[in-house]
Amino acid sequence: MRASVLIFINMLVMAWISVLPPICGISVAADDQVQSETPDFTKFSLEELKNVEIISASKRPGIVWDAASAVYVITKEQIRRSGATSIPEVLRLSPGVHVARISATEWAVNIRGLNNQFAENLLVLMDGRSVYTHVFSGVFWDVQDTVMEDIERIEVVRGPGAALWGSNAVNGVINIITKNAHETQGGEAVALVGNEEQIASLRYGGTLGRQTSYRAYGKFFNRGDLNSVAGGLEDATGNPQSSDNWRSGRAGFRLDTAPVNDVPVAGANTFNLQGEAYRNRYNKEFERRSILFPTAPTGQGLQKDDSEASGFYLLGRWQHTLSPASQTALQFYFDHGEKDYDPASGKVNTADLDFQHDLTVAKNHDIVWGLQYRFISDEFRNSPNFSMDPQDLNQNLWSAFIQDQIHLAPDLLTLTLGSKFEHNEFTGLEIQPSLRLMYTPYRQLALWTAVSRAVRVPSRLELHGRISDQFLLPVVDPNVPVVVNVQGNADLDSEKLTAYEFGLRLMPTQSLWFDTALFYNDYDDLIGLEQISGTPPTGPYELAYANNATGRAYGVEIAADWQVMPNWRLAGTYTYLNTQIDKNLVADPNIAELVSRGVNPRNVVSIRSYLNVTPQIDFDAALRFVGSLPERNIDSYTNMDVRLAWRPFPKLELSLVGQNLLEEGHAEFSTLEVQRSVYGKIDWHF
Amino acid sequence: MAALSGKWHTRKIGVARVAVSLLFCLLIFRPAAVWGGPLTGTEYDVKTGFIYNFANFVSWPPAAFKDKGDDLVLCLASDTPAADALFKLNDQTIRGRKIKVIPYSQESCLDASHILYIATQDKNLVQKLLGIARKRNILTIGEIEGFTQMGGVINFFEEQNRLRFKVNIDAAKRAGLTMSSQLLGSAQIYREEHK
Repeated sequence: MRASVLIFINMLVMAWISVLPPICGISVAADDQVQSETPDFTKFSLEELKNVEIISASKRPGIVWDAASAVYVITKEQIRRSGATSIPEVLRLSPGVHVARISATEWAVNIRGLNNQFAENLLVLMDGRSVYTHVFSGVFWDVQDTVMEDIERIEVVRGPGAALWGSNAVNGVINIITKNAHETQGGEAVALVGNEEQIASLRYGGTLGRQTSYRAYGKFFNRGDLNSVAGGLEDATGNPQSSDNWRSGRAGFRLDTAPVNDVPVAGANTFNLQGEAYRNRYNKEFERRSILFPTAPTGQGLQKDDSEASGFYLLGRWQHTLSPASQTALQFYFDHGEKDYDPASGKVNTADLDFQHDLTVAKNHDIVWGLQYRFISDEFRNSPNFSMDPQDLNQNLWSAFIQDQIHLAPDLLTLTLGSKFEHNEFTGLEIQPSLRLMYTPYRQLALWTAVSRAVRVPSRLELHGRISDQFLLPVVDPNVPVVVNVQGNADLDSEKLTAYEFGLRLMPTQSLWFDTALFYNDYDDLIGLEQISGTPPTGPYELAYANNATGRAYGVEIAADWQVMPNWRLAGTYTYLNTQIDKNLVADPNIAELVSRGVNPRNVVSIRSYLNVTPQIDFDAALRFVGSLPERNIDSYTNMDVRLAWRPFPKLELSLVGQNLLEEGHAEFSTLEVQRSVYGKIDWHF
Repeated sequence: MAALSGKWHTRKIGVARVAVSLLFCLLIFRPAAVWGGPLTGTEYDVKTGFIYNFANFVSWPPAAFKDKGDDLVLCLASDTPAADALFKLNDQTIRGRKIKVIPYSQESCLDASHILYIATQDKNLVQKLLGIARKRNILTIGEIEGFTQMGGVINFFEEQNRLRFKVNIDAAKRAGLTMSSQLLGSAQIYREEHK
């Protein structure tokens, strides 16, 4: 196994070397072309210069040149020009992220691993607040939203981020960062109307005194349901599983006492306070499927469900500068979320206190250390299908981390050592170290490699849940449902990962860059299902969670970005992912067939074109190919998004966007299809 | 909320049709003058233009030059390869003086310079350089966020992919530099807090 991985890596490196010269040749020519068109800016007046649009090669959109890990940054410009209307859809821009829409309100999002609705190994943060739910080990993407125009950037870290971020950052970290209130002054109104959704948002920002800025915002949307694939059940009106009523409303604010990344003098303090409240309602009519095995129908026909979700949070951060080489940050947040939907309902309160200290010691040591305390309190309502024991639980989580970035040879070799030490009440102390080395022999070439360990703490469901499920298993009996009960296991241990990574960044010219990452993940103690008893043919089967599986994953992720002409940029990504999880120890072959930890496509390719037809007109197009998911019966698909935008005045942008244009509908993860959609949008600053 | 979305629902198709047709009308009847072609440039090419203008609108005290025809020296401290574009300013003339661009690695770069351009995001280096330039008649220009707060004179920043600049008037005064109203009129002004 390892030998084959090495050969695979070797081949890729060889492929790289053989590919290099032609790439350089082409791009050098392109660069010359760009230069010949450059006007003499010394002849321009200051006001004229202020109107020149910058093609910023040095900022290298998307790339973080000196990070010894696989990072991709989705900028606000890319978000605007993608035409995406929700956070999970924006994540399709990053290499290595598999995004699949399950239903109108549900997405499966994961990195370097097996994808599921609750992508267990991915940590997601919004402005420093974790939105990972410990209940199912995953993220409720339906409630993660904000005004899209207020997002500054999204940092996607592939691979373990546990040394800094802690447990559950096993396969990656997604960090969503909204704009500083200083950047959102004045009003902005957005109205979006399309065949699949309608969105309206309003934001107003102002100042309080000389240094303090604020913004307040509100957003509503109404989104349509997905249709079932041909042959699915139809509702009363004859539409296949179609309804049109996912409604969401939220309002929030943010207050900042200093501009972002301001470099304050010693003794300076900056504060940030933000909060938001939301409410979602979703009425659907659907064909009920097994909770445990979503590929199995229950045979109960169409059912109605009214789902509701609501919540709020409040977050405050205090940054204090001791000296230019030493800064501290103290953050506190409280988050309340409740959800009442088909299989379960419950409430979760989280209080989190975080302290971090950045300091430079002896010129070549950049040290970050921190302490964190988190209190999680939950409350569930048991139902015949779903119960928790204990029903309510309070948990305390303590952690500390330290990382030292050692500049062994300035601008040439950097070693980063770090570890997180985390204590939880179920699996005890978890130590998650990492070692990273960065080598930048030339200004145009950077190489890095890393070895790290990360764990995923079992979810509340895996520890204390009980699910009672009935579904049709035609191979057993086409009419009588099989009964399967799954029991939580309080003795579960954490899932463990050891990851080996290698990366290469190359910028042959100012207008072109490549970022490549190779990885090999070795998983141990994966949590799967184990059969305790069973009375075939129709059960009840008694299953329980156990640390009974091992697995590995390897792959490659490539991102490239080419400023072809001053007004035309091309960006491409390619992801190859191969995951091998050993079979679970479920004896009964009929049930074993259904037990799956999730799926992922082998190959994903995307190409995006950003063209400034004139300074006022953008024409953007994106083409993407996503490989098949044979375990779920999902075919591969190729689709296209197109965006045309016009700014008749600097403060007004009108755009027309078509999404998934190549097909009437395509399935991404479930039996429901994502439809072709078209919308018009008005974005007005006042 | 329910009432509002209900309203959207009934109006949905009508509004969509109007919005789409409006967009197309606007596209077709757009004034032809807009087809001037995009005015774009790489970051440092455009900065070259700005720096040329700064040099034109800033007056140094007589002591800063030995002779009338002395060169105007720009010292470039950079860890950004792209900033090498600033060398294009070499030998351009401004108010009878030739511009000379010298890399920071060259000895006496700061001693002879009138302008110090700091192209780095390394906070410690910026602070060190500003410390050396302090108390001399040097126009310091930087691009790290917070450069003016650190005592730098002019700070570039970006807004909607366009370059803007901030001027720390107090730092300019300390360096004995006089700035014309044309320069200040295009700048965002920063004043240090007075004790």
